[in-house]
Amino acid sequence: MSEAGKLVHHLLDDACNTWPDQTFVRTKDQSVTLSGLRDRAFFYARILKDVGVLPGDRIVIEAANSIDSVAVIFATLAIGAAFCPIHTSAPDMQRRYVTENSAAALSVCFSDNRVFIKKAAANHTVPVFNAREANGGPLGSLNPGIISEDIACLIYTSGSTGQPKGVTCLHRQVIFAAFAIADALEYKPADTVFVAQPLSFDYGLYQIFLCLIGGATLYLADPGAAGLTLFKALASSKATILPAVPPMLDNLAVMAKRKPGALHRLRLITNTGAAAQETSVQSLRQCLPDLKFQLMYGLTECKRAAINPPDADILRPSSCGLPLKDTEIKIIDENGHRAGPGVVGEIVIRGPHVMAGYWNDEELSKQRYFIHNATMKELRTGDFGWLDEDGYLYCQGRRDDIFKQRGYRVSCSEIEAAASAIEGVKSAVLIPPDGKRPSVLFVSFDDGEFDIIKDLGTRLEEFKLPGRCVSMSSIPTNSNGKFDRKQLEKSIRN
Amino acid sequence: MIINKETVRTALHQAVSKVLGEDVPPLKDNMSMFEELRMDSTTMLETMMELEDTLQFTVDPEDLDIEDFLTVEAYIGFLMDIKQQQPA
Repeated sequence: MSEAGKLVHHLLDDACNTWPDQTFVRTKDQSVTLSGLRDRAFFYARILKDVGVLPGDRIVIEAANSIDSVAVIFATLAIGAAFCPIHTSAPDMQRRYVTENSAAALSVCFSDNRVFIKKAAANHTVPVFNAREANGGPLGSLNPGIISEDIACLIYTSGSTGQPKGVTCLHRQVIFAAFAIADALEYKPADTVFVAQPLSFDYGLYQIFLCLIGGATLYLADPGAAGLTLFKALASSKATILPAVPPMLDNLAVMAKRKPGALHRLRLITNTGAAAQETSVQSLRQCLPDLKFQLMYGLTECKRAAINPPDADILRPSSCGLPLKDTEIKIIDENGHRAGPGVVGEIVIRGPHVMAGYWNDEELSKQRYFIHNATMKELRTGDFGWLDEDGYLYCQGRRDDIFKQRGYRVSCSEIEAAASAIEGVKSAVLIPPDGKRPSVLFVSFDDGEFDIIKDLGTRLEEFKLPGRCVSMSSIPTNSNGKFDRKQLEKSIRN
Repeated sequence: MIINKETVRTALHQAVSKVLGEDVPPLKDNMSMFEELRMDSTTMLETMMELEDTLQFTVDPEDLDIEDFLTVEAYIGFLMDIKQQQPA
């Protein structure tokens, strides 16, 4: 068990020992080797220490897809602090919320190739890293005295009530998850992994760790490259692996048909976030015969739960995989009893990848991270699905107010709470997207309508914003006095 | 056939309205496709395919740059260029 006691930043030290001159991170116009990234992380680690960050502190990092973001993440870990990655489009209100909720010591953001530290009300501009004057070493040598039971990161994700929750991930949990995923996906030193996911989502973030374990190159693309321009960016980056969410596959399927030769290097696409459209997968298979698919299922609370072996979905359409090595997935019925193969119930996950819980939220942690007999912890995902005879998982989605929009997790109540908090809004109800129809926010106003989406943009990240907004004089209620969501949904269907 | 800017603007307006399934305000040059018109990767793709049909052209996926789709003006410029290269 070489992973016992390992800390997340040791991944960078280990990779550096094995492949020091291997290109680790590339962007459109920059690249850095493993040892170069480690020197940069070492440099930022000293600066963070100098401004007073202590082991056990938390740091909010605006996780832009840049070399500096990756370096600051490792710098944070190397001095024994935990990082809370936030989306670059997070408005001030969200940033304040995460900073206060996590009681962060400071926050780090990036602009025009410069790094800035915000501590209390003060702003510090960090000196520019100069590779020629670098004076680094193994990150492990900074030895802040933490152990693998300490926190590596808090990942804020939409929960079923109000504000996002900080999923608390210990070093040992991140390490276990990263190695178990690496075992199933097998990234190799010759691979270039195209990451258009923001590093604030675990899907993007873990690509860093997977590349380190496999010795692969991480290509950090602009998250804007996920759409029409994905094809060109993929071809020009010479990517061999694409971690995708369903809308990316739909885009790529249309474009790849036109010029399949340009993507001949692409050997693997993984998918998570929501089920991939089978027609898109099929179409990509037809024009790129050497390409394999590994469809997966997971949630931030345990990072990843299941991964299909390459192309296993051909024989088992719509399956999302087998449990990670040394973990278990079971289905429980409404009484909490284990259900047999073929029976739909709640997906429950056990194993060392099940994270610690929700930061400072005992109630919700107890509910989701259920503890049997005061000892045995399991993650009750809130997702429903079934297992076949061979243990492959089939996911059917949620039965609460969380939904996936453009592949990202969003909750109705979070958006409704944000909308209702806007002055002049009487009430707000969100109807999740359905097929091609976008999510629709129904709003009633005290007096006088206004552009609520613009206002919401100051409170929520871009990817959470509703697709459409419909204003009403009053929102219909049902016989229980609750908002009549069914009627609202029907009104947009017509 | 030389295509003029206003014809292209009308075609773009029709395509966006059709894809979003709602009344879209008149398209001004400086409008942002993503923030103001609330387009995303899926609706952008559908809009492009719609325009390929109505304006009769085919895009080469390696000619698509994000800068061409950020604003209404850039998008119109892109469509005018491609129509110049593929007149019919």
